[in-house]
Amino acid sequence: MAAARRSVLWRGSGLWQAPARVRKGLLWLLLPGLGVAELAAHVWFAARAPRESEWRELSRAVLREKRPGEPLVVAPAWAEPFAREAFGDRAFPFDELARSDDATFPRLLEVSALGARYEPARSWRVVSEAEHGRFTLRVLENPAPLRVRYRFIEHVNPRELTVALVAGTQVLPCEFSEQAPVVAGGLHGEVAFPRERFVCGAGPAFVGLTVIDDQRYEPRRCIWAAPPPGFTLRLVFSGVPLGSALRGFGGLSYFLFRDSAAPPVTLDIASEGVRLGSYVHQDAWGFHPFRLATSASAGRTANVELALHAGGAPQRDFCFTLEALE
Amino acid sequence: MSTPSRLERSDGAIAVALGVAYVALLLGSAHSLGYTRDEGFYTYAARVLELWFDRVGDTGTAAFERTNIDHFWNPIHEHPGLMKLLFALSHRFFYERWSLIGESGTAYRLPGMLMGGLAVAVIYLWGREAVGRAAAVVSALLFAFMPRVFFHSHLACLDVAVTAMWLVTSYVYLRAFRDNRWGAVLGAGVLYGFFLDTKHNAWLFPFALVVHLVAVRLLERLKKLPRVGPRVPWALLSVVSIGPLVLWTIWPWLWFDTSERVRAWFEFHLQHDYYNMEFLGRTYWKPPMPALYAPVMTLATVPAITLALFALGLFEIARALVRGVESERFAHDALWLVGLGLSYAPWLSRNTPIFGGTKHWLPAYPFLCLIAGRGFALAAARLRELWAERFQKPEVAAPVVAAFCLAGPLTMTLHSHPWGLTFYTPLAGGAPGAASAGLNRTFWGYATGALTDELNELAPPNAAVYVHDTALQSWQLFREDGRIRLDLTGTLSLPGSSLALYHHEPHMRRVEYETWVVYGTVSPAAIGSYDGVPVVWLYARDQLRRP
Repeated sequence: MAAARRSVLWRGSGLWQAPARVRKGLLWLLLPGLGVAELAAHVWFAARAPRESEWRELSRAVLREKRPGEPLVVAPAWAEPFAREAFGDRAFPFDELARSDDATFPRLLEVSALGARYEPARSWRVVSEAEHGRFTLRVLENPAPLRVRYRFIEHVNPRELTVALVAGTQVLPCEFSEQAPVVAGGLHGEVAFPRERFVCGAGPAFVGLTVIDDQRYEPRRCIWAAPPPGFTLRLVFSGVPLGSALRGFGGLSYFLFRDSAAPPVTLDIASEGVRLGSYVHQDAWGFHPFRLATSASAGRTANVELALHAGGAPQRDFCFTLEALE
Repeated sequence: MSTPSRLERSDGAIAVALGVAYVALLLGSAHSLGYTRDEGFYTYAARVLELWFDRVGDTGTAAFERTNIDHFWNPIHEHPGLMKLLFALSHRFFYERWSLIGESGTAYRLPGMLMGGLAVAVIYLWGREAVGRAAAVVSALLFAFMPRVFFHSHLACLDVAVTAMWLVTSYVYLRAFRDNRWGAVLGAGVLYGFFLDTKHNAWLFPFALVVHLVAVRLLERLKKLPRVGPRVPWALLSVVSIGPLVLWTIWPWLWFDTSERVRAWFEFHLQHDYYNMEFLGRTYWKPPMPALYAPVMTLATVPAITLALFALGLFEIARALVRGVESERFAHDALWLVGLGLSYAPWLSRNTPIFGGTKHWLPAYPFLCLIAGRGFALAAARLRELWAERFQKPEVAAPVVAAFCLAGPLTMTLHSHPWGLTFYTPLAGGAPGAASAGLNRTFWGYATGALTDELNELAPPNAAVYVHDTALQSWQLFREDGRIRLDLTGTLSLPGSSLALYHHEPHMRRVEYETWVVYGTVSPAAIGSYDGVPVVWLYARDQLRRP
């Protein structure tokens, strides 16, 4: 019986009793073996990632876990469109989806597939973890979240913000409109100009909320405040509770300005006539952080005046975020 | 190993069968493949030429006067005219006159498919002459079943056409070089003219022939081998002298202000704009381009078994050189190696744009597959010996090995359709692995083809659809073919649209952000995906979304 079994492998003897020439020849079997292995690997890889329907099935579990102020993140990031389609706008508020960074958020809800992790929060504590089919839902806790007293982006409205163009002694107020024409320039054009915005005269200058692309082409929601040539764009936020610092990000659409060597945009910040500091932004930096200490004003509620200027340079399409930290 | 042998009558039949079968497969699968940006531009050019045909019919020789030539040929002169003429003729006759093809777009695509079929057939013929029948079939099918080749072979574009022309011209040149028959010598020159009239890759070809000639003559001298072909390289002289004349004759745009227009043609391509391309998580849009782009993308998109056979083929060629090789066989091998090397050579420069992905070095692939045929022949011979030790009928060994080698490429290629540009081999982890590695998922806006059902379902009557990366001319093809409702207008204005497409490339994400702001939602209404990887998605204004 044993002999018969051996003969299946090789005529009249075991495989390893075969002549060296034959054994060497068997190496050639690696080639068709590679063909089969590649085919098997293809089948495996093709079926590996969760399908659209599986994302939809996950919806209920995700919406149950989702808390306001705790952004939902998806790993791998390329699968996020499925999550947005399946979970809807409720799970992805604009401010959370296009946030500047994670530093001010105490928690994140991570939806993970294929064993991927959301890298910026890999070191955060896992509060809870649950398997749902081919997904893992994790609640992640920020070990040291920055506490925010005031997000300027939440106060871009005519009750709390006044906007004007200033040139010398000339002051041109920018009126708030709820029905301004929506504009979007496509790939090579301007970012989207929202319907609700402060419109400065008949020109293109305005202040409003939009989303720009950062240096990794990621979305960043920000206050569009592009100073026209020769003007200073002045924004005055009223009743801002100041804390230890102002923390912000500034940038221009990276795709449009990544090669630009145009003059920088300067943002001067003052409160009640007292200068708090400045930020000077170079185009190629992308969406860039800055921080100004305001300890001397901490605990005060005051008006904060932002003055943006770029000399005579045209198309200084600056967009920024600003937060008053505790 | 295999030495060159003459073709038999049956080889012609096999070549035709392979070519026809490939064209039939392409035709049968074309409907589900969306129209690319470049197809929009080339079909626009073809439509212009169809108007020129009308002018020829109406005015006779006056259509060949400068006013008419400039009027019709000036706007479409970025690339030469051969394929655009063929697209126009195919559309005019196969679609409009004879109704042999039911879709306007497919009629425009047919010449490109025929070029794909021609390449498959000629790979077989050349492989048959140089290596043997089984290896030739394997070479031809390895080429046919490269997923990216299969994708590009469907298109009314120039890339597979120039691949076929490089191959065919090389093959005829080799025969002319070897046999020195005047027909073949003249044929090589004439073919080079058509090759030049296809795409500018042809500029490299004479350099390839010079390198080939020097290599062959050096080897003959070193190894004291008999000379292949005549002392005077008539075929090469034919290529460099007759080729440009033929180009001038068949590209009417060159008939006037010839030197300035030739210079403009060269300058356009030598100073081509840089477009964006994602590679390993980074978007490149200006030099220096990544040095590893071409090799990594080849590894990531060509089946590993094809590359393994190619590596084995290279080994076999090197071994034959060391052990002693017939000069005629070396003439074949050297032309393959030179064709392969020259087609990749531009990507040795870090100034060469990478925006077209793998399509720019497609002309290397027939030679890669022919060399893979040598590898297959070597492996099949060894396995046949092994088989003979154990089984009857050793002649079965080669077909069995071929089946094992071809099953993967065939399966992967069929599975890749119609997502040819999203497909990656297991070496890259498939499409999900490639997405994680930051390799480009799509370009050219063709993936609109995956969302036509959703567009037709969600769009209100007479709606405007923001087409994003799909060219408006390509949108027109979708409508003409009935894939998209005739009442739906393509637009490049987001605010004026009811539905908006987004084709994902990192640098284009700003368009998606614009859509979020304009539509007031971040949730796509539908997604076109491949193997669990989102590629194209559709946004709808609130009232149009499905409940």
